[in-house]
Order: sequence, then structure tokens, then C-alpha cells
Amino acid sequence: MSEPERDDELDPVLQDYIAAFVEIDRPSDASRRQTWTALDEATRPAVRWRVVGAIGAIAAIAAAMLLMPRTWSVGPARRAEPDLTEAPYESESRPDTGELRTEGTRLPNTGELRSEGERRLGTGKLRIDGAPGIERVRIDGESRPGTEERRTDESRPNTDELRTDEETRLGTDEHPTGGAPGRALQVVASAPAISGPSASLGPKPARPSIPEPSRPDTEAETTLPRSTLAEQTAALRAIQQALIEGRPAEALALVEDSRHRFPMGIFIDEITVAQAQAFCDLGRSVQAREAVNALSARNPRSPLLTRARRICPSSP
Amino acid sequence: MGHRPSLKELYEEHHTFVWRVIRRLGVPPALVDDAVQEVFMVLHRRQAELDVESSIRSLLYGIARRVAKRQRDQESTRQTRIQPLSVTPDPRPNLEQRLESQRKAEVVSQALAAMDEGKRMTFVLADVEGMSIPEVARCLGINVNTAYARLRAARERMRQTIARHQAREEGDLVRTRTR
Repeated sequence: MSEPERDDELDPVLQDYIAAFVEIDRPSDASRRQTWTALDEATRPAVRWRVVGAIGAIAAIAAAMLLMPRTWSVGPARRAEPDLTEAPYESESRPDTGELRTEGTRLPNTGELRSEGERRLGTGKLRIDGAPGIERVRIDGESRPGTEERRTDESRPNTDELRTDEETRLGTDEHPTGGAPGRALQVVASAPAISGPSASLGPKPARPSIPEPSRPDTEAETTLPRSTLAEQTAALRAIQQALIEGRPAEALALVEDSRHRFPMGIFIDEITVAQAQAFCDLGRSVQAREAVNALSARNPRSPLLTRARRICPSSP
Repeated sequence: MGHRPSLKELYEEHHTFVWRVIRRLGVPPALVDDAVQEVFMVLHRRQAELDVESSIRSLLYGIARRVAKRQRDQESTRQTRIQPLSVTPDPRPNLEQRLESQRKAEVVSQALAAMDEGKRMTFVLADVEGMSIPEVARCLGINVNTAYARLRAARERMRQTIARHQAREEGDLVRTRTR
């Protein structure tokens, strides 16, 4: 439009002053290098996260594919049932096949069917008794708070009732970035609902459900999150203890160790805040802020962010 | 679409621009480098949506403005003013010339600090960073005519400040000679 007018307006004196300003007001090479180093470091983990995410997605698809035949095999008998995740434990007679698939193994309907897999639900144990046409599932176990004895022949519209505290936490929105166990759980629990022929009957598609999977012997799946949860809690406590006792370098080492052991752990945000604190305590404020930025990037709504941003308020 | 620049390339090309814009947006000196880093981190996350044909500087400016605002909000307890000049080591041997440039730059810096943000950023983007007026208008989310009007006003303020500075210097010179 009127670019020439603009050039005309910029008189030589103004140009001279602006040139001086541009010449003086510029970042030093050291500042440029330092910022790039921090930026490069900060963006590299993001790449790793994407790779992990991609691997997770592939694992989810693989898990879904593995579970698909199993779900389909019981599908016809369960089509009208409200809760897909309870299918293997149902006590309804199955006149169509009279067979129950557990652990991916086709169990003949001999009346001697008994799954030896004892599944921990809370603190209870699950035993599956099979009889021709009638399979009964019983949960035996000491009754402890939050763990009721249940007969799965009861109507159970809400599988969440069986969640233990830890399991519920894994599925809550408090950790939207998820941890490895949480994601693993989602894969296991959601795969049948997605792949099953009556997936539309899934009661809560939006909320990840706990492993009420299509196989009774899920000892590994149910105990793994519990054990890693305990380990992760212990790891976080150790980090925080090191910080409290003025050992930031050790805390940093523990942070690294924890990330190595639980790359997608459920306390990833808390550990990032601890890392920022450790950096700050060590006078590495740029890295502290970088950790806070990483948290902000990963989980912009994290309630920890407010505190995290106060960690190194006067970082250089 | 052609070659999509890497973050490193974008950083090398636009670091000074972002750094200067961040400073003119009132981020405290201690936080400038961190804010610059944050701008590029956001750019990195948004690279997938970055259309290299559009103005990267517009995008960077938009990010920088949000980052700066957040930094300012966080630092609201302390008084946040427009940046004094940085002291960048100058390789030139001519100290007098260096001091002269420093004085002039200080005048520009003070004049910018006295402007409202609209005029200041219009001036910085157009006359310091050399962006076209349509590009400036796009960055600031204003129409081209408004951008021209702000630029004219900003230049006028700048000229007045420079004139006062020159008058003071001449006065100092005269007083020095008459002593």
C-alpha cells in the first residue's frame, strides 16, 4: 500500500538511533548458546515421549487384537449383558456352547472346569467353578474394607465398585498423562469393549476401567500395578526425603533412577516438581525452570504447576 | 511444501527477534532467557501445525506475547518495567563510538519504555525488526491503517525524545566549552 511513505518517514536521524539500538540491544552469544542448550535438552525428552506414546499405541492395538478372539468367543452369550468386563465370571448358563474361555484357553465343558487362577480383587480371591451349562464364580477371601465378597451372578452394572483405591487412582483424571500401569490397565480393560461385537454396550467408555478382563487369571496384571505403585510411592518418598534433608544431588539421581524404572509412572508430575526443586537447590535455575516448563507442556492443568512455578522465582 | 526448518534453524534465525520482543514486552531481565526458551518450546510443539509459507515471526510474536504476559503476571509483585539495555560485549575497539551507540540506544530504549504497548510493539516490529506493515498488523491483530497510525505516532514520540536528547547533549557541550 503505502510502503514508500513508510520509508520516507524514517529519517536519517531516526535510522541512526535505531541502528545503534539494534546494535546494542541484542543477546550475547553466551546467552544464545545457553538457551539453545537448555532448549535442546528440553525438547529431546518430548521426542522420547512421542516414541513411547507410539509404542503404547502399538501395544494397545496388539493387546486388542490378542483379546479380540476371546471376546468374540463369549460375545454371543453376553450380548444382552450390561457389563462386558464381567463376562468371564458370569454364572449364566450358556446353552449355545456351554463353554467358557478363560486365559485364552478353550476349556471343555466337562463339569470339572475349575480355573486355578486365583484372581486378586482387592484382597479377595476369585475362583471359577465350572459345571455343564452353569459356571459359577465365587469370590473367596477375607473381607476387608473396600473388598466385599461378591457373587458375580449378581447383576453388577457398575464395575467401578470393584476398584481398589489404588486402581481407582490409576484411572482418575488426576493423572491425565497416565503412568505405565495406568495405560496398561486401559489397554487391557478397554480392548475387549472396543473390539467386542457388542462394544456399544460398554457402560463407561470415557472412563478407563480396571482390569476386569476377559480372563480370570490376571494375577500379573492386577499385582503389577499394585507392586509398581508401592515402588513408585517409595521412589517418590525417597526423592522428597532427599530434598527435605538437603541432598538435592541425590534427589536428582533418584529422579533419574525413578524415571528409568517407571518411564511413564503415575507420579511423573510430582517427580518433575521434585526435580525442579532439586535443580533450584543446586543453583541450576534454568534447568529448574525447564523442568517446570516440561510439566506445563505435558500437563498444563496440573494443580502442581502453581507450586512448581514458585520454586525458582528469581532464576537468572 | 518445501523444506521444513528444524528447531535449530528456526532458533538460529529468530532468536534475536524473540529475545528483543520478549524484552520489549516487559519480561524482567532475569527471566528473559527462560521466556525465550519457552517461546521456542511452544514453537517446537506447534511445529506440526506450522505452515512455513506463513510468517513464522507472526507466530513467534503471538507466542512471545502470551509467554511474556504469563511471566509478567507471575512477577506482578515486583515492578516490571521495560528493559534497560543489555550490556553485550562489543568486539569493536573504538570505545568512543561504542559509547555513542550506547547513548543513542539508551535514548531509544527510554522512548520505547514511555510508549504504550501498542505503539511500542508497532515500532519495534516495523522499524527495529524491519517487518512490513501488513505483517506487523497481522502480528498485533490490528488492521493495516491502525498499524500505520500507531507507527506514525510512535515515530513522532521517538523523534521528540531524540530531539530532547540532542538538545541536552548540545547544552552540555556548550556549558563545557564556556567553563
